[in-house]
Amino acid sequence: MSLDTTRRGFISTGGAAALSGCVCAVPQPAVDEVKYIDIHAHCTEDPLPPMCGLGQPLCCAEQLIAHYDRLGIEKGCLLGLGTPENFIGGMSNESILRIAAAHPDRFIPFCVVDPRACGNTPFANLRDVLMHYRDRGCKGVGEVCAQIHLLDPRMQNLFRACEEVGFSLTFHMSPISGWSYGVIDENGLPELEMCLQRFPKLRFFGHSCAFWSEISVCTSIHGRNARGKGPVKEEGAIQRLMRKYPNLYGDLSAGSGAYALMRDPAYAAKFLTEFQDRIMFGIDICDPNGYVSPLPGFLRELCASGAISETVFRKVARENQIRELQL
Amino acid sequence: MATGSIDIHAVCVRELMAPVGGRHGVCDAAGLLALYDRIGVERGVIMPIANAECAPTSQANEEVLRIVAAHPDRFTAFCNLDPRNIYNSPTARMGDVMRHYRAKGCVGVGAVCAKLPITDLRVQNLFRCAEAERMPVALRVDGSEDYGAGLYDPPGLPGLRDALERFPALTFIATGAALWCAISVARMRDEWFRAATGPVKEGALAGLLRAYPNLVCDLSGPWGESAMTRDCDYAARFLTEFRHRVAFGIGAVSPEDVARELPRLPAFLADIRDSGKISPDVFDAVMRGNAKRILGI
Repeated sequence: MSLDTTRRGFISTGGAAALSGCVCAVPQPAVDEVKYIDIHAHCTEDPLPPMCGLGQPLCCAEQLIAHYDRLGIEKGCLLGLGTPENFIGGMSNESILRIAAAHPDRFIPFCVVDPRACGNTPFANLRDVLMHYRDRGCKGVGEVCAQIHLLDPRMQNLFRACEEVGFSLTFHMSPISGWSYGVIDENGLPELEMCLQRFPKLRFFGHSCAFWSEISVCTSIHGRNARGKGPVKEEGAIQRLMRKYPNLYGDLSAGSGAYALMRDPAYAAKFLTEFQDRIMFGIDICDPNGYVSPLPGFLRELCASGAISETVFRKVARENQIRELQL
Repeated sequence: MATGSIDIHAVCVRELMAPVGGRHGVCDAAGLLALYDRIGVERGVIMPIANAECAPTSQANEEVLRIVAAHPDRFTAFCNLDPRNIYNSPTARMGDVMRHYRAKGCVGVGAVCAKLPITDLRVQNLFRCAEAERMPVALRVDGSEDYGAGLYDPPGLPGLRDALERFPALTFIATGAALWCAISVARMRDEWFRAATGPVKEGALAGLLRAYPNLVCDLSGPWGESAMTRDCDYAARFLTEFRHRVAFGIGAVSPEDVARELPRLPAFLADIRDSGKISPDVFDAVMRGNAKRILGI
């Protein structure tokens, strides 16, 4: 999709940069015309069967693009769902690449490699696998949803391979072992902290309720497994880790990311401003007729009201994604 | 090809997956059909790669349905569900999904290769749902608790025995190192993990086949081939006694292997037929008739 190059847009932001000789001298659209880049998208080539008595669990490409057009989203990162715990059957990285190839202006392919892939061993040669998909155009790894502790040797093997190949890694976190899906960590994210230390060149994109609940102090299992509610009275593990480790990023997708901000708009503005280079817009639409995050409107309101600057808005909406994924 | 054999355990993909150590694990459809034409296989029953442990990436049931739609005279589809699918729960509603795929033409579920104990509640839930839907389940039974792929069962196959007892209306189509190792009394612990060799002293498998009519043995993979070729005379007696319960299969083959060598099993079975060790009827049942009857194809 081409960027808006109207006079208004040029003057509002990009023009000054161009005249000053800045390397970012591409004219930019006005802030109210900025299109989002979705850091967290899913879709399938063919409709999947209904799950748990509900409807089609994931969009097909055309259904997701229709959502994007309605929500002002230019393009999205297509994450795989090859993890058995959160899916029906399997899903190949090749199918992600086929969808992205059919819609190159709307989708950016990621690959997903389960930490148990290639024989359920911490010695699996996942580096070769990741290099193959990197060479085919994938921009990152995710969504990693295996119900395995972050410090499990198989998970560590995957992280090491991702770091060597230069991929980012998007994870969904679960608050408890033996239930549902997502990588497992305790309250306060001690295992994540060890991973951030051990793999300093691996960029971790955190997502899900168990991750975003840590924007505030939260100790109950129910709290860790629900969208955040109420003001952020005391900062949680996310801020502590983001201040200490430059390789932790926030993926705002789904209700978990949206409500981590919407629970306390005043704090959200402060949070986005402090971590403006490491928070990324995402939407994680699954059911074609189901829940759609209110995040796009919320972020625009924060910007329109002056709670966050245009610069912060642009970074979170798309510029961080462009920089981190070298789009 | 009208009376060729039927491969009860085929694996193939639309596009080759990532190679590991310079080798692709699985052929594409064109590669598998080229192999079939060379060794006289009329039809293959494709089992989707749904378990995380098996390969670099998994495969959608819909992908297999597309392959079958492109080659309806050569392939039949299974659907596959990992026991951890639908939120990792022992009460997951898998029957709804199985019904969906049955309506799309899938004739069974599997091959279930998750690295879980066969007695795991999620595995038992999958068996329960398949039994209720009257869909056979293909499974790989493995001797390692930790590494590789396949449902773990210790020597003697007590977990498989329990499942056969608990789900009498479910047809189990089983393969794997542990399953085929049990054709004999294991001499060494490590035989449980690999394709065993040497003369056979009858093991647990024959007892299970005699006791439970819902067990079918799938000859695919190196384990099935080795179980037959390790002791030609016992193989002939085994196939003759269980002539209605053993089915020819190939399993996953890499494109590199297809170019280099053919599976030995078809030639071995033809040899023991030609030498009179098994009758032509037994040979035909194993190579074709049992798969047709059991799967209704």
